[in-house]
Amino acid sequence: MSRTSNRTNGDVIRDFLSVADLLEEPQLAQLYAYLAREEEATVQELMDALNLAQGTAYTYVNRLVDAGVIEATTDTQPRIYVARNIDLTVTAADGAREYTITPVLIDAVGRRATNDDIDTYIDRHGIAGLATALTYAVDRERGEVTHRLMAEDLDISPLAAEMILQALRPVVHEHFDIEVSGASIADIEGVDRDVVGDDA
Amino acid sequence: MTFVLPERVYDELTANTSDVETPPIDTAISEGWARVADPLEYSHGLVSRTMDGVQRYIANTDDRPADEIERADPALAGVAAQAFVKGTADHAYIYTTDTLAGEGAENVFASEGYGDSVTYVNGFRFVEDLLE
Repeated sequence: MSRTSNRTNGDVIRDFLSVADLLEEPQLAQLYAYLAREEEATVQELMDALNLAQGTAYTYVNRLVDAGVIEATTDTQPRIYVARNIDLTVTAADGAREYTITPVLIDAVGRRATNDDIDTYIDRHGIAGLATALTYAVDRERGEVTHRLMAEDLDISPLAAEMILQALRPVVHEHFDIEVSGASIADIEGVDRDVVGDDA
Repeated sequence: MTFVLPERVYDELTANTSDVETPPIDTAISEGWARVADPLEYSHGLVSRTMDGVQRYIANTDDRPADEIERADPALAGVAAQAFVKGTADHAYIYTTDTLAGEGAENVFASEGYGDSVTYVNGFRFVEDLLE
């Protein structure tokens, strides 16, 4: 193996370890997701948006810069930070399964700090399980699958499937441009009769 | 206004709820804003046709065999069909968080000539509107 390809491998492994760190710490994931979404921000803006103390904000930003997943675009103060794109495909040892780690997944993981349903789901099914749930959440919002099909595929209860799909719904709509279908209250105003419900 | 649930959906909402004293759906029923639908009578052509239709619609969209589709989603349309057959309703509002199930029901009723009698209401929009 040439020195060049060794170096490339080293970079890939470094990237992987940085991303693994992100997934381990919801606060770091949250900060990365915010930058990926807003495109750029100063430390002051991050402090305001994420309600961080100054010391904490600088610690997180420095760790993310060291990890190479965000970078400063200016040398002058205040520095403006941007997120570097992460699109890392990990293949499981058996070669049969593949997971792609994207900013959407990092955003979802970051929300475990404030969302009990996401937190519980990761505890039970791991980050890989959340990645799978996220693909169902996107397909469900696109009207291509139902929570009951997800429940059947993953051998979980329909209620458990619906709960994680609901928790992931804001993440999906944040990152994907999907039109919401179906009527709203305004469309059906004046209705006072019995209706068929499915609040599972 | 009363929400009518297919039996299958009620069963889902009350399964494995031994850790709570009263499942929320039972509270809703005793407060009078939800009730469980009568058992579906498949002998009525409209009931069985709409349920089969929704089942096929979901299967086709998700590219899997129709017999693998759980019957709770088609049952939503079945409850509406049964109300039409029995004359207890002339319009059905179908509430679900699954776009695929809602659009499937609208689609199948349209092909049965009930297009103007069925409205799929997005469950999320409904809740968001309520919270506003």
